[in-house]
Amino acid sequence: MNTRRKTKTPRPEGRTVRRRWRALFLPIAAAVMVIGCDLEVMAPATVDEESLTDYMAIGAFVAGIQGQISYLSHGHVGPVGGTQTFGALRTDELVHSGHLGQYPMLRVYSDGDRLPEDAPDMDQFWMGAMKLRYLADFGVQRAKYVYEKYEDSSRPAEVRRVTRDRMRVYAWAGLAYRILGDNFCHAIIDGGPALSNLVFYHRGLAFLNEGIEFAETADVGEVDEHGLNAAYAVRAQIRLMLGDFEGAAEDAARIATGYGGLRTGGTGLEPGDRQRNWLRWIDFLEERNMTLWGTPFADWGYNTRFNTGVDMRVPFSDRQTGSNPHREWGGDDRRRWFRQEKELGVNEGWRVVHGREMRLIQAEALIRAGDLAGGMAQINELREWWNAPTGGRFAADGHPLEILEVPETQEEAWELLVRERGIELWLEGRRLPDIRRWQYDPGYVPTSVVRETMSGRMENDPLRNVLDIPGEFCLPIGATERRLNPYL
Amino acid sequence: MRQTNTRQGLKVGRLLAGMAALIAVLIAGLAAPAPVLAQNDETGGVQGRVMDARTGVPIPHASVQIQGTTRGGFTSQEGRFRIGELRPGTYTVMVRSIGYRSEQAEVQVQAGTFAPVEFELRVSAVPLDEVVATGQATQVARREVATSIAVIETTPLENVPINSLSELLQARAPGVTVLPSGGMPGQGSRIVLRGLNSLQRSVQPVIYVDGIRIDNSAGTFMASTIGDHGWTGLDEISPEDIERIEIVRGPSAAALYGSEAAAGVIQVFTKQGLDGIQQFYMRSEVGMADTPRSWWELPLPRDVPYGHEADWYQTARLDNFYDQYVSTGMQYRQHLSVRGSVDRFSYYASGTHRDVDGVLPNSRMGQTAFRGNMNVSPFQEFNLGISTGFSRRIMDLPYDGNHEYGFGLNALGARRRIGEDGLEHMRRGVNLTPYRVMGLEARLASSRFTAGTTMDWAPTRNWNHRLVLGLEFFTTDNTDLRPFGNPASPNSEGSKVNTRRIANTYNLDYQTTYGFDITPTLRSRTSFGVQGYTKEDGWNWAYGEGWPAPGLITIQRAAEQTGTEDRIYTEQLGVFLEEQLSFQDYLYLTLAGRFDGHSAAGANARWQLYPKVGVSYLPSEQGILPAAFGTLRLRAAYGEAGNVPTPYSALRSYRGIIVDSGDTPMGMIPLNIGDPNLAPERNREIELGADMALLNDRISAEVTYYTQRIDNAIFPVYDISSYGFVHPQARNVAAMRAQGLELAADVVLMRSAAFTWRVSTNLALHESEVEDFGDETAIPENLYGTQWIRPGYPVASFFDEDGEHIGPAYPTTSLQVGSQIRLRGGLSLRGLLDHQRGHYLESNTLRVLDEAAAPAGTVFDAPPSDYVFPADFWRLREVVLGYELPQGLYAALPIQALELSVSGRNLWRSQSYPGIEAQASYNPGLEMANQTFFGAPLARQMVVGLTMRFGGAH
Repeated sequence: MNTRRKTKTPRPEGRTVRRRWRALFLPIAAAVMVIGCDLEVMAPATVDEESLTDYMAIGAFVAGIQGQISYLSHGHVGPVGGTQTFGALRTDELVHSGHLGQYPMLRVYSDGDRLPEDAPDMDQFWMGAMKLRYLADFGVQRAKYVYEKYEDSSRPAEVRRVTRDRMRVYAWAGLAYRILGDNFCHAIIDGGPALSNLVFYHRGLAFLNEGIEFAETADVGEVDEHGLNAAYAVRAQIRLMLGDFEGAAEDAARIATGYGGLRTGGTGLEPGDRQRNWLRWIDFLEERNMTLWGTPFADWGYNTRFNTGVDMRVPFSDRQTGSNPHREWGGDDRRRWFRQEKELGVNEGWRVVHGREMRLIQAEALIRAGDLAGGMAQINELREWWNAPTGGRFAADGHPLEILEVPETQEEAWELLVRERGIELWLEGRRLPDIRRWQYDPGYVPTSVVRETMSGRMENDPLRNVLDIPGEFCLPIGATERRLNPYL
Repeated sequence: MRQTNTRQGLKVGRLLAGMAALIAVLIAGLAAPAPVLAQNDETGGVQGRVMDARTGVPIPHASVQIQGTTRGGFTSQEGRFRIGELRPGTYTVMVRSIGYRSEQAEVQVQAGTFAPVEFELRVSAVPLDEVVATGQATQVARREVATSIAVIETTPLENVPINSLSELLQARAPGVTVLPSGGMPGQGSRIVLRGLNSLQRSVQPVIYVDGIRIDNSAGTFMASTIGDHGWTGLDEISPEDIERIEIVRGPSAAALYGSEAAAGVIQVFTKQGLDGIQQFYMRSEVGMADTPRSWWELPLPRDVPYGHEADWYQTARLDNFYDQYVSTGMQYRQHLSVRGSVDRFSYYASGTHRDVDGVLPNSRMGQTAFRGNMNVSPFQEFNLGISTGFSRRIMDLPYDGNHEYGFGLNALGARRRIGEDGLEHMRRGVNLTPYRVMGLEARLASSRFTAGTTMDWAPTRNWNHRLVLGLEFFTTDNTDLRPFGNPASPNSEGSKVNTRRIANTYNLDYQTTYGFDITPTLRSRTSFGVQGYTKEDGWNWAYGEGWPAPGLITIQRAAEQTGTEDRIYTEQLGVFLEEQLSFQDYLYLTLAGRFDGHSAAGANARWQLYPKVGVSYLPSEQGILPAAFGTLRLRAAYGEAGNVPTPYSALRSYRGIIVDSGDTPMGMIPLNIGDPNLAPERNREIELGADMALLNDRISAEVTYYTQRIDNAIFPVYDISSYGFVHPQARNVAAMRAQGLELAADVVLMRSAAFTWRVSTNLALHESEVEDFGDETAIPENLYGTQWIRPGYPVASFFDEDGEHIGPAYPTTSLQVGSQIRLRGGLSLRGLLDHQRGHYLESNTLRVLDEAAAPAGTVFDAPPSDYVFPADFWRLREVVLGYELPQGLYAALPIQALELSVSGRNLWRSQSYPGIEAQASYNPGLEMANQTFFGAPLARQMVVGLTMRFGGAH
C-alpha cells in the first residue's frame, strides 16, 4: 500500500525570486569549466616528438644508435648475448664448451646447425635490428631538420652542435646499416618484402655519401674531424662488403692506423644494468661456455697463463679470473677451456671501427689486385703500429709481432690475410660477414674448426672446414615479422 | 597527435580556480537578503520517536528528514530525534530506516516550540524507500532505481572481527568477490565486481569515501622483495568509521561515472553527527590468530614423482617448520568515537588503533586512524559538511613468495639436490637459512589523508544543488633492508631498497536537480552535473649497498647508491544529464547520459558518450496484486561504461638507454608506437531484476540477471617489427562477453520480541568468454604461468602445454549463507558460511617442493599444468556471539549500552586444493593471476570484545 502522501507545502515567508535565478549561475559556471578543459596531461616519462626539434636533441639519437648497436652486438638480446656471440660461435672464433643442458642455442650456433626460425632468440635479434634501423632513419631525418632550423643561428655554439651531431648521426647510421648487413640474411624496410641483405649496405652507403657531401659543404672538418673520419672509415667497411675494393681502399687510406674510431658502450636498458659485455659475461658465469680450443685462434694466439704463443692480439687463458683456480675443462667437462682475454671488462664496450682495420682493407684490395708486396706492406705497417711505443707497445712489453715477408703466391698471401684479418678483428663481429663473402669470393676459407659435439673427451670432436655447415652464416627474419608482414 | 608539456601545476591551478569560481557563485547566490535564523524565539522544531510498529521497540539510527530543507538527522539509541531551527510553517517529516517502510507526516511548526510527532514503522523486507546515491544523479529512493545496488550497513557488523575494508566487503553481497593475496596481516585483496570484465591486467572499481575519490592501487614497487605478496591501499580506511557502503556492480548502474566505471563503483559513507544528542561509542577488542598444523599440510598420498617417500614433506620439513616458526598471533583493537550536535552544528570524531600479529615471524600490522566529520546548517536551505580522515598503517612482512630468499622457500623446500661435491645444495642462487631470512626486514608504511567538503543548497523546494570538493594525499614508504652482516646482501655488507610514492587526487562533483509535477500523477526530475578529478602519482626508488659497519641503515651512508623516479598524471571530466519520469510512485523511467573525457584515451577518442536507460515498476504499489502477495518490483536497465587504457599507452614514446661512452651518456630508443584512436573499452550491459517480499515480509529476495558485452576490449598487439616499434601496442581489438545471475534472499524464520531468527543467502553465478580477437595480428597472451588470454575461453584461464583448457581463474559460483538469531535479554548469535567454486589455482609451492625432491642428476620436467588444481572451498567466515548486558547492572553509571562479544573469523575451512591456501593469490596487482607461491594460510581468529555507548541524552 502506498503510504506516501503528496502535499503542497507553502513557500516560506521572505523567499525571493532573485535567489532562484541566481542559482542558475551554478550550472552555467560548471558548464564553462567543462568547456575550458582539454584533458591533455604531461607525459613526463616519455619524449614528446616536438621536443626532438631542439638543437640538443640530436645527440640523443647519436647515443641511441650507439646504444642500440651495443645492445644488438653484445647485450642481453637473447639468453646468450648478441650478434658478436652468434658470429664468434658460428665461425671459427670460438666453440661451445658449456654444460649440455645450459644455453642450447650456443650449441646450435657452434655446431653449425640450421637456426630454428621460430626460436624467441631469433625474434629478439630481428626486433633489435629493426629498432636500430628505425633509429638510423629517424635520426638522419630529424638531424637534417634540426640542422636546417639552426644552421643560421646567431649562437655559434648551437651551429657547432647541430653540425657536429648531424655528421655523427650519418656516421653511426652508416655503421648501424653495416652491422645489419653483416649479420642478417635479409633486409625488410617498413613492412615491405624481404630483400637481399645487401640493401642494408646500400642504405648505409647512401647515408654516408650524404654525410660526406654534407661535410664538404658545412666544413665539418673544422667542427668535427672525428665524425668525418668515422664516416670515411665506415664507408670503407661497407664498400669492402659490397666488393668495391678500390673505393674501400681509397677511403681507408684517409684514416690513420691509430685512429680510435667508434666503439660501443653500455647496453643497460634499466638503471643498474651493467652487463654490458655479454660476450664476456656469458663466460664469466662459472660455466665456461665458450673456448678457443678447437679453433685456429688457439694456435694463432697467446696463452697468458703459460706465456707461450704467437700473437698477443689473441690473448687467452684457462684462468677463471686473476686469482681464482685454473679450470682445465669447459662446462661440458670434455673440451679444454681457453677463455678469451681480449676484453675482460664486463662494463666495457668494443671498438667496432678503427684505423687498424683500414690497413687490412687496403691490404685486401692490393692482394686481390695482385700486388702482394703492397698488401704485405699494409699488414706490416699494422704490425709495426702494434710494436711501436706510441701504438700497441708490444715490443716494449716483450712480445713484438714479427714483420712478415712477402709470400710467393697469391694463395699464400690470401691465407695470410685471412689469418691477419681474423686476428686483428677477433670477436668484433667481423668474422661472420667475412666468412660469408669469402664463401663466394674467392670461394674458400683455409681454416678449420671443431663442430658437432661428440661423446667422450675432446679428441673425438671432428675438425671441419669453417664453411662446412648446413646452416647459414646470418640470422633469419624474426617470427613476429613473418607472422605479421603481409609480404612474407 | 600532440603531446603536451603543460606544467601539471597549471592544470591543478586551473581546476582549483574553477572550484573557486563555483564557490564564489554559490556564495553570491546565497548572499541574498534572507531571514537570518539567529534567534531561537523566532524558530521552532520537531521532536519525537520512531518505533517498530509490531514490537514497539525503538528504532535507532533511523533517518529523519524535513522535506524541502537540508535539515535532518538520525534517531538515538532510544529512537528519539529532535530537529530545530525551523521557521514557523508546515513541513513534511520523512522517516526512513533499513528494513522498514518509510513514513511521513505533516507537522505544523510554531516559533519557540517543538512539535511532537511519533512514527511507527512497519517492517519492509524490500527497502523501497532506502535512500541511495551511487549510480544516480542525486540521492533517490531505491524504488526509483532501475538497477541492483548492494548496500552494506555496518551497524550490525560492529562485533564482527574485521580489520580492513576488504574483510568488511568479503562475502556480504552477491557479485562482490574479495580474493585475498595471503594470510599475513595487512596483505591485500582483489576486489572484483561481477567477474573479470576486461583483458587489461589491472582493472579496479572506482571508490569514493564521502564523495572523495580514493586511490586504490595495489602496487608496492617491492614485488621482488616480498615475492609479489601485495597489499591494498584501500585498507587504509578504518572500518569503524564507516556507516554504510553502496556498490554498483555493472555498467548499467555505473554509466554516470564514465570512462573508468565498467568495473563498478564503491561508495563509502562514514558516520556523521546525530541530531539532538551526544553519544560516545567505545569498542575494545583482544584476540588471537592461529593456523592449525593441518592447514599447512599437503594432502597425501599425492602423485609424487621420482618415487621418493610420499611423506617426505610432512616429516622432514613440516614438523620442523611448524614447531619452530608458526605461532599464535595476538591482536588488539581500540576505538573511541563521539557524535552529536549543538544547535545547527553536528559532528562525528573518532580515533582507532589496531595491532595485529601474524602467525609467521616478522609478520605484523599496526594502524592508527582518526576521523572528523562535521555539518553546519546556517539556514535551513543550506548545509555545509566537512569530512576529514587520516590513517597510518605499517606492515611488516617476512620475505616470502616467489623470492629466492623467501621464508617458505628456504624453510620448506630449499634443499635442492646433491651436488658434485656430494653435499646437499640449495636451489641455484639460494643459500639462506630461515634464521637469516628472519634477519631481513620488509616494511610497508602508508599514510592517507582525505578531506572533503559538501555543500547542499536548496533555493526552492523543487530545486537543489550539491557541490562536493575532495582531496586525498596518499603516501607510501616501503623499505627492504638487508642489514650489515646478512649474507643476503652483496658481500654481506648490507643493502637497502626504499620506495616512496605520493598520490594526490583532487575531485569535484557538482549536480543540480529540479523536480516538478507535470500532472498530478506524473512527476519529472531533471538532473545535470559535472564530475571530474585530477591525479598526480609519483614515486621514487633508491637503492644502496655496502655499509662499512653495522648500525648504518640509510642509503645515503652506503658506498653504492642509485635511484629512479617516475610520475603519472591523470585527468577525467564529464558532464551528465538525467531525466526521470515517475508515475504515481509505482512506475519510474530514467534516461541519462554522460559525456566523458579522459586523459588516458587517445587524442581522437578522448571524449565518449555513455548512455543509460532504466525502468522500475512496482505492481504491488500499483495495487494490481493481491494484498497478501507482498512487495514486487520489476526492473530493467541498459547502460554503458568504460575502462580506460593504461595512462600514456596511447602516446608514441621513446625512452632512454644507457650508453656510458661518448659525449652523451644516454641515448634514445623507440618504445611505444602509440595509437591516437585508442578508446576506453566500452562495456554494454543489460540488467533485469526483481525484488520481492512475501509472506508478510518474512521472505525477501532480490534476483538480478545481467549480460555484458565489450566489443572494443583493449589488448596488446604487435606491429610489424620492421617499422621499428617492437613493443606491443594496446589497441581496441578484442571482444568479450559475460553474464551472470545474482540472488540475495532473506528469510525470517521467526520474529517476535523474544526471539528473532533470520537466514540470508547470497548466490552469484558468473561466466565470461573472450571472443574473437577481431584482429588477426593479435595473438594469445601468456598472462602468467599457465594462464592465457585466448579466444573462446574465460579471461586468464588455465591451459595445459597442449593448449587444452583446464578451467577459469575466477569463481563461477559463489554462495554465502548467513544466520542471525536475537533473543530477548540481549543475546545474539550470527554466523556466515562462504563457498566459492568453479575456478582453479596454480601451485608454484608444490612445483618447487617436487623439484627440490628430484634426485641429483635428473632433469625436473613435470609440466607446470600438473600443478593447476581446483580451488573450491567452504569457509566458516564469521561466528559472533553477543550479549547486551542488562541496563540494571550499570544504571548508576552514565552508560547507555554495554555489550560483550566473542567472535571468530575463518574458524573452519574445507578445500579441495592440495596446496597451503585455496583463497590466496600472490600477485593481487595483477588481478587476473591466480597463483600461489608459499605464503601463509588465512588465519583463524578468535576475538573478545566490549562495546560501550555512553554520553548525554536529549
